[in-house]
Amino acid sequence: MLSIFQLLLDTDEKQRFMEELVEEYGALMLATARRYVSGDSAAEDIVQDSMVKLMRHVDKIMSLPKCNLSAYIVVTVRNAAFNYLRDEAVREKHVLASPLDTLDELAPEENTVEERLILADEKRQFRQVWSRLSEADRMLLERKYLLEETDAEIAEELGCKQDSVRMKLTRAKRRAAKLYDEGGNTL
Amino acid sequence: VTRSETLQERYEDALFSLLMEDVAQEMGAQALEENERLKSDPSAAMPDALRRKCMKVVRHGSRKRRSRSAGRTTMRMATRVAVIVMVLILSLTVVLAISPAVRSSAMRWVMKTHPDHTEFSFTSNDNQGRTQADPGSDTERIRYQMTANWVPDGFELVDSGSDVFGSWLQFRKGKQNIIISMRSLAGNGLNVDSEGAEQSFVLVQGKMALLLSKEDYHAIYMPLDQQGNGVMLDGEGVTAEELLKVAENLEITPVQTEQTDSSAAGNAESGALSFGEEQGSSIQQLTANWMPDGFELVDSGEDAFGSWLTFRSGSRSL
Repeated sequence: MLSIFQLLLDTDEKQRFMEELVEEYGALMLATARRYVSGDSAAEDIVQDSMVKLMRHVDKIMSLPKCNLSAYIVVTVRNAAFNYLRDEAVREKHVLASPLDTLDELAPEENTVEERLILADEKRQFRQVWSRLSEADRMLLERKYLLEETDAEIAEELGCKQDSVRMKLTRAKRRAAKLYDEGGNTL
Repeated sequence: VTRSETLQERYEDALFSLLMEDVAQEMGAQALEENERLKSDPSAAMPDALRRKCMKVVRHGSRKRRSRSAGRTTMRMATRVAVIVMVLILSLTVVLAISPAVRSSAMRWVMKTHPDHTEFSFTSNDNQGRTQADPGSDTERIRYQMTANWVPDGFELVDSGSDVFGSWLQFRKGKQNIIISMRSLAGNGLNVDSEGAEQSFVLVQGKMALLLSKEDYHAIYMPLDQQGNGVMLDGEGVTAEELLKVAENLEITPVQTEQTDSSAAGNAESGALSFGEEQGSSIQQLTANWMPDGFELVDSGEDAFGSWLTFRSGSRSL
């Protein structure tokens, strides 16, 4: 809930940017929300919630190239949809399983990421790995590296401790590295 | 965590940021393609009602929405930027279960007053004098329960809840509104529209707070703890006195403490309250980093109610 006096958009430029964002990406936001919930009312709530979240990061998203901005918007709406479903206690009915619940069941890898992910110029191979990662791992890595959320923010959203977030991230990165290795790549 | 582990984590972060950039590019390209397709499909267009709601959300977060209210001004800063630093060790009324390390650290709510808005931010100095913008990142996180023990007659609770940014209570009586919200400024900060607003410092439950008033809008901002949590009260259609009374009768109780270090865990288990000498006192330190030319400090001090600085230039005083 916003305070009466609270400003998220403290310049005209930021307000214009957000208004244009509604015009340009409104349909995409709604379509993304509808993938996760069935009712129009729920989808509209998610879009509005996403708007608030985007406004809170307006400084960041204003500096993004168009391609990155659209990815940021889609990921923000998707995360808002997950939060909505969780909050409404109907997530189990709509999603196969909470993708984040399975993380702790997997044993940590013994090898370190440093041993396998050495070179940073293997992006094409990493994109292939990306599609094979679990929904949970993708969501965590998106939050951390695409939305650039802090561990504290992620912990707050997921309702867990920051240490737990760090562990989950480490495991997600190790699984990505393992998939990379299984694909016959050597980093 | 060893230095080696820290360096490795930084390395991994940098590497994954680089790899994820390419993922974002591909994801973004697909999203743009879908967006173009949706824009050319009338049936996929955002309904007008939702579009209006989104625009309302934007306006709500914008100072333009309230610029019409810029009326009488009794205290408009003649400065470009005036900075007031409030250092609060602890307050009388909010007693927290905190570790000694946290208790002895100093917290700063920094309030920068610009001509058209006021910016709050938060930093904390640990025992080693290091400044951290997010003091909650390596200490326990404290959650609170708020209970409004007094609201004006006729007001009813119409909404309450919490999200990632904090929690809130909303009371309504017709078109009159009172919103009590709590949020953390750590790592984020808060901008408020203070253009044309009366600003004054008030004591609420023995703590210094800022009161903003603009026509029939009033808001009170008060720091709460070392983690940057603060309480904000908004009143629409109520008097400043009524809002202050709501604030004075607001009960704030720590209900959940999550530790990330073992030393803090023992502290919490021993009970929710941990009284130390510092917790029985309230210390507010004001630092005025800028004053109009000609103003000199003529008085300063502190008493049971707080502390003050008085600057004077001829017959003018601040």
